[in-house]
Amino acid sequence: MSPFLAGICGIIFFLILLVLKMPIAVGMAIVGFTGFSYVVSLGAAYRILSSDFYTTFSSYSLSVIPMFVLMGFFAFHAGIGTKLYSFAYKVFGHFAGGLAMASEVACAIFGAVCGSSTATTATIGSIAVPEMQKYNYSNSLATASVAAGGALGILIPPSVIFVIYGVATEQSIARLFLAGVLPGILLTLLYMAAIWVITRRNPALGPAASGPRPGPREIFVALRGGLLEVLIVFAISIGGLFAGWFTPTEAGGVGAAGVLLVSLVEGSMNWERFNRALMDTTRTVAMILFLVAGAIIFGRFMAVSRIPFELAGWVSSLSLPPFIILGIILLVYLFFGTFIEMIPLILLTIPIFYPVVVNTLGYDPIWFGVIIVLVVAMGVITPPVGINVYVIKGVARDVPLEVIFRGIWPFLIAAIVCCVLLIAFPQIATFLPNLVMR
Amino acid sequence: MGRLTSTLSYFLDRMARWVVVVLMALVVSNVIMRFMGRPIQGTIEFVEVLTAMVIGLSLAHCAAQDGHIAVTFLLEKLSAKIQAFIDVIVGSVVFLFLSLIVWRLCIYANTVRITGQVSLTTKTSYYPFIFVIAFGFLVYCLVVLTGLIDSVRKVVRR
Amino acid sequence: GKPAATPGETPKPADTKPVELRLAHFFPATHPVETEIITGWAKAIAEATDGRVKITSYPAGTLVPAAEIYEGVVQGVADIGISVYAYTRGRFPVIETFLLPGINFNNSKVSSFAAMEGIKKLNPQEIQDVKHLWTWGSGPGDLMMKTTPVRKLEDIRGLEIGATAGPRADGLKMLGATPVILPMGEWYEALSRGIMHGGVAPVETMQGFRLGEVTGDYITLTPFLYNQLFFSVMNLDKWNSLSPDIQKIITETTEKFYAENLPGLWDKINERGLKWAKDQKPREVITLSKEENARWIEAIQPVQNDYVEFLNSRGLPGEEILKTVKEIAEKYNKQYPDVAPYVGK
Ligand code: NA
Ligand code: NA
Repeated sequence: MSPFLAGICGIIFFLILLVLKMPIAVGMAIVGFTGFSYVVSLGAAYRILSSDFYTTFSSYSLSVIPMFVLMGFFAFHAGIGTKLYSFAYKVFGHFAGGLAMASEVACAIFGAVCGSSTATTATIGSIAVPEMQKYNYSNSLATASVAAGGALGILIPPSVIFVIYGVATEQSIARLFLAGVLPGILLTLLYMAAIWVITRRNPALGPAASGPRPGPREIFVALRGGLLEVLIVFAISIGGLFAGWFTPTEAGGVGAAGVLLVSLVEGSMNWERFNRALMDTTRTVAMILFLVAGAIIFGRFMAVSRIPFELAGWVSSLSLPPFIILGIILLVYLFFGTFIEMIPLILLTIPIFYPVVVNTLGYDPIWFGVIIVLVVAMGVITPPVGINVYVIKGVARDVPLEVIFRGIWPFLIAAIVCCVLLIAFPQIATFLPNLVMR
Repeated sequence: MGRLTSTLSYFLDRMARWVVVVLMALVVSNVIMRFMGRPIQGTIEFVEVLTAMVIGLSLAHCAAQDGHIAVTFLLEKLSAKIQAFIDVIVGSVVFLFLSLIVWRLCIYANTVRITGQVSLTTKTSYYPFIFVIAFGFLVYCLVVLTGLIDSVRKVVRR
Repeated sequence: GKPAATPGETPKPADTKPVELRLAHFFPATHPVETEIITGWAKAIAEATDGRVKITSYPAGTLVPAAEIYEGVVQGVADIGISVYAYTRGRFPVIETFLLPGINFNNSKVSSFAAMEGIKKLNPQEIQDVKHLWTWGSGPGDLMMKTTPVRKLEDIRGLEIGATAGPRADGLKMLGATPVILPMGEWYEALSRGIMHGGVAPVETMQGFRLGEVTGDYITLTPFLYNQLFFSVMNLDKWNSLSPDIQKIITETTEKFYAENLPGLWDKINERGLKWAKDQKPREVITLSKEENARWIEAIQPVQNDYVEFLNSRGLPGEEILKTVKEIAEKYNKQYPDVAPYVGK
């Protein structure tokens, strides 16, 4: 069996394991390990099995996750999430789906500075989902809106994926950052539009508040009782990150400590709540990082199977109109984005696709970078492996996985609309960098 | 058996919770010290090791609480007996695979020890932490084994 | 898995599958190490062996992450690996002596030739578990500062300076700076977020890792602070499985290719990178005065003494190794006297 064929068998085998209820992380690691030992050697597979688990668990760039998840659970268990959403409910609650839209904005702002889509989903999710449920939002809308919103931050700078793309293609990272701003805002608006459309068709998904609209005084009163202080903590944590005072991990640590402090002073934190927040944190973080490690091992197998290379080479050799080739390339990313971690996928395929798209087909390199990141944002919510969906499942344990995936469709359609708009009007991406950097 | 594993995994998770607190305290202290012009040397590598400890120590308890995500809805329509049978097969595979991870992590730790690798800034040996993670996986293994025994009982019954 | 070539027999090229060798490294796919060195070497080997040996490259850590590459080759994850000795501290005690701050290497020719001779002469135990193909050096690394010019020792005190590995981090500590050890791939974000005031690395990284966008307004030349050695090694079993004639061809082709391409490589790409950075915006290149230079080297001195002690504690003749390294460095410094030739006049 050729490595290519072994890779295809591996993907099928993985899907079978999924159906049989194997934990996804273990399934990916098993297929990755078995496939790697078949294509390379057993000894080699033993090595990646041990070193990939240790190096993933001890990665500084992933240490952002425990810190922000901790902040989220402190806020939730101290009842700050409740206050935050009762405040948001007073402001946005009078129209259907208002809280979900507010969560989209929260995701965009938080994700913009945090840069990690899993950390954003876990943090906002731990606060937003239980609150939306409290206001009778449907489970599918409450979870799917945050899972989709969690990826908004990778379009809005700073973004790790842009750094990787920039280094791999020798493009200016500063230009890429600027190019992501408008598409990021556009996608946020499209997600809100999607919520508007589905709650208009079926208001029960995100019911509007009944009774009179609260006045400014009532809204101001809702800020009391620690909420204002916590908003200041958030502002310091996120603002400090944006201003360059902190690394993402530090911003999470400072935020968590700040929320803890405020809730202690306000008397809303006690031993039991503190302990429960810690318990939820370790469970969520173990789940996420185990999943990431499994995906990395699976990705090693995909690399030696050479499927991404062969596919990229095949697409590049087609003699078809440019936009059809581009379409196929995007489909390839979307398809493999459902199995492989996006960062290794970009590293493996960009050297082959990039010259085709930019040199042969003549597309703008900065614009292509934005398109790729947009496709990544779709990949993290599409079944069968949408890491954001699994993360939100870890936060909202009572919601079945299929319910979340069912809620994803409107957002996926919104993302496709965004993609089509970007292809039709590349200026959405290129306008800002051309304006600022000439 | 069930009693032992749940006690053990809970105990490890409790340690992990305190490691999270230490991690937060370290990160915040380093920020404060940096603003005073005296950042703590080696913070990054301490953060790395502590994060690894959090994961390693809490993996088993996460599993005991069914925290590792699986796609469950596809099999729900089958009879309880067939489901239990599938659980036995899948559980055995998971158990064997996790045992393999434990074994290879121990060998990995030992290689790091023998070759004398140390951390980059503070030059501390880090192989003991790999052993801790291996132990975490071992307890995860036991949790899976407990579940496996339950499934076997369900299959054998009637 | 896959059939390897049977040792001993010399098969006709036409009716045998070529031996495929997986090469793992961490450079971006656009870096000269991939586009010029690995591609060129693989081509030379393929031609010299009539296509009996095929080398497939996995760039950017897609097969094995940077710090795991050496051990990955030992275990056969990759057949060939190219990475940096300094990413695994304590793993290469003898070779790490070449990386000690305070030992001067004028340029990349000096550091490459010195390392090759040193490895031959000292024949360190630590790399006997692989087939050593070659080692090359990057030569000087310089302080690339964002907004703060460094002209004297006092200027660097209290600043956070990026480094990719331990030895120069120790040097930075002695100078009064706070080293921040991060892999090169994470520097861009750290610099743009202000986590580091600058970094010590070859100036080519301003282009290769886009660092010129976020740092390097002021560049202080510090050839005594930084030396980086890159290895290219092969799995021992894989090497032994090759037929003697293929081994001979590989050895000869590699020697020739190395001599023609690698020793001066980093001077060339440093020059290219610096020019690229200067085209973006003006940069000031600062050369320390003679007295200032002496002060820095004196401040760094304890690192070397500590290292000798460390070698002794490992049962290695510390004094002797350090002396040999310094002698070889001086020998080649005399032969290639240009200090930081990439700066030009
Ligand atoms: Na971002
Ligand atoms: Na997906």
